[in-house]
Amino acid sequence: MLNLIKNEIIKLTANKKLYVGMFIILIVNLLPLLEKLAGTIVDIPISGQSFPLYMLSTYLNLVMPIFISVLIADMVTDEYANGLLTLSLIHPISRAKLLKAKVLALIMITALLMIYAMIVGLILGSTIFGWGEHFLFRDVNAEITYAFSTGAGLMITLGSYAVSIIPLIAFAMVIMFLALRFNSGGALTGTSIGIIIFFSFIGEIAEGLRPFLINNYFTLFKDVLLSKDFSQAGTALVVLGAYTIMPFTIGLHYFTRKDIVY
Amino acid sequence: MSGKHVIEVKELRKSFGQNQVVDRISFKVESGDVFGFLGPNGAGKTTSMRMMLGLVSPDEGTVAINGYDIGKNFLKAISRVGAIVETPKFYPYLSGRQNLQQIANLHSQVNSMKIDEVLDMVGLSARSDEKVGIYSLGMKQRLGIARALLNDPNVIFLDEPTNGLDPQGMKEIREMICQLAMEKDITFFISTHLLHEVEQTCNKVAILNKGKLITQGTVNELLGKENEHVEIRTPDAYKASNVLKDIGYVKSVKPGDDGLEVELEKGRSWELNRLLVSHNIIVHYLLPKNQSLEQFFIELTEGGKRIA
Ligand SMILES: Nc1ncnc2c1ncn2[C@@H]1O[C@H](COP(=O)(O)OP(=O)(O)O)[C@@H](O)[C@H]1O
Ligand SMILES: [Mg+2]
Repeated sequence: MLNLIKNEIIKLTANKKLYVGMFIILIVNLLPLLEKLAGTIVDIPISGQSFPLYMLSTYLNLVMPIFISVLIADMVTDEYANGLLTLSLIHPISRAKLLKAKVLALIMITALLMIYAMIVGLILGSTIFGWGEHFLFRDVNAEITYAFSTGAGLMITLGSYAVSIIPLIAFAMVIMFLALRFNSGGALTGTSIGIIIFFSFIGEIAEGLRPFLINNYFTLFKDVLLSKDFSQAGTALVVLGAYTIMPFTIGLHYFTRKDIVY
Repeated sequence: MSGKHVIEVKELRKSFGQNQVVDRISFKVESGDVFGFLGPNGAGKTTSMRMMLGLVSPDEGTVAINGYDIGKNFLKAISRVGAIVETPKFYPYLSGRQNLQQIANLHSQVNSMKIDEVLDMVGLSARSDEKVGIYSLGMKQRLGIARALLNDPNVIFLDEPTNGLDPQGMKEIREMICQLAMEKDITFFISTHLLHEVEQTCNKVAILNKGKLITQGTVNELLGKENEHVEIRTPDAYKASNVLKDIGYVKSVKPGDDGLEVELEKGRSWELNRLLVSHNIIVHYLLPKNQSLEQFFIELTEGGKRIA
């Protein structure tokens, strides 16, 4: 199993898409600077120490889901369609183990990317906006400004990035489930982006559906670490758990029986 | 392991939708065989091979490799198999060596010395650290064989191993197969649409067309290396067939266009001629026919083309 995970990590790190993604994270970090210059975020307190927390929602709602979709398209769909899955499957390893190794490798890479994004945010944030005296955090469109000591704020940031792995895994399992059925990585990535847009759109027009939509829980960290609304966090964990377990179980069942024809 | 059969295929069947692609095929491959799986494009060779390797599940039938059922005991059945299905595929952004390392990681007993050894065997040691993306097709084919050798297999599956290669590349691959079969005692199962490839490399052959096995046997037998075919042009076909039916060196007698078609032991046609004449049968012509399998196969492939 360890060797299988190693194989996946080697492939992911040899793939230039990972580095393109890292570069995009860098660019995304520069967007608030443009907003500041354009005067659109004038009343929100941003400083270096709170900058990663400020950026987190953007990562969770957009950057990371797209990134995860692109990586899964490579790891699962393209690998199948390019006849590369056949290579591993004619050796004495079980299909279930192979798929689990892919999931674990993806989780590891996602975690590493989150750490990278946090560090980039700290460095770029304090370079652009200065380190700041206090840890002040206020979300776009939000009423409340949270104030913490620098130490507490940084711990909350770290915790928030860590907690955010949970919704990202859930999202990844949904995409993985689709990826097992697609024959083209490009089509899968397109569909994934469509899903991201569609979900947020549906949530806007039909509020009643919101509790069932995965993207409603992307910012789980706010419930857990900021508003400390634990009943909301509990609901989130149940829904996200369902989004993780169901596609994974059905996907695994499907994959172990799938005809590998490429 | 049970028995001497390295591969045993029984009543294998598969359809994709309405299309019956493999239709109840059965055959056995013995240890030491270089078994040719011959058939025109679309005959169902790749699909059969994928079923034999556990990649595609059959609708019916079983496959055993080294005595283990591929469906029920996959890990054991596949453990001593090397295979290249269709053109060899690689991660283009990894080097030749890294590509082999990916597979070596799937076997506990394969170490980096083994990787060096197989790279050396196929003559790729010097280029092994270059990315596979820049390899020629011939190099990829050789790297594919190196990869198939990594786990010390006792049986190797090759799907159209010389497809797309130039004549020199084809020759190299065929020589490598013969060498490996002899020196390393590896059994080969090779699919191909080229009759001469079977002639040059295989000792046994099974012919597949439209999913059905048409014939199988040793290459010598089927290529008529022991028997030959002659066409007898005679107005006395009925009388002639009565004369020939009990003759030992005559293997079969069939009605032909203008007389009879006869299969007989090689080198006995002069006796056949004398026999017929001695029975007062008029023989206008005695015509040697092409090797039966070849003609059979040409008809087969042309039939395939007409349908396509
Ligand atoms: N995944 C698939 N879905 C539907 N039809 C297929 C699939 N794979 C192969 N076929 C069909 O099965 C037949 C046999 O194909 P194949 O096994 O590739 O033949 P060969 O390898 O002898 O050329 C062809 O008619 C082909 O179109
Ligand atoms: Mg084929």
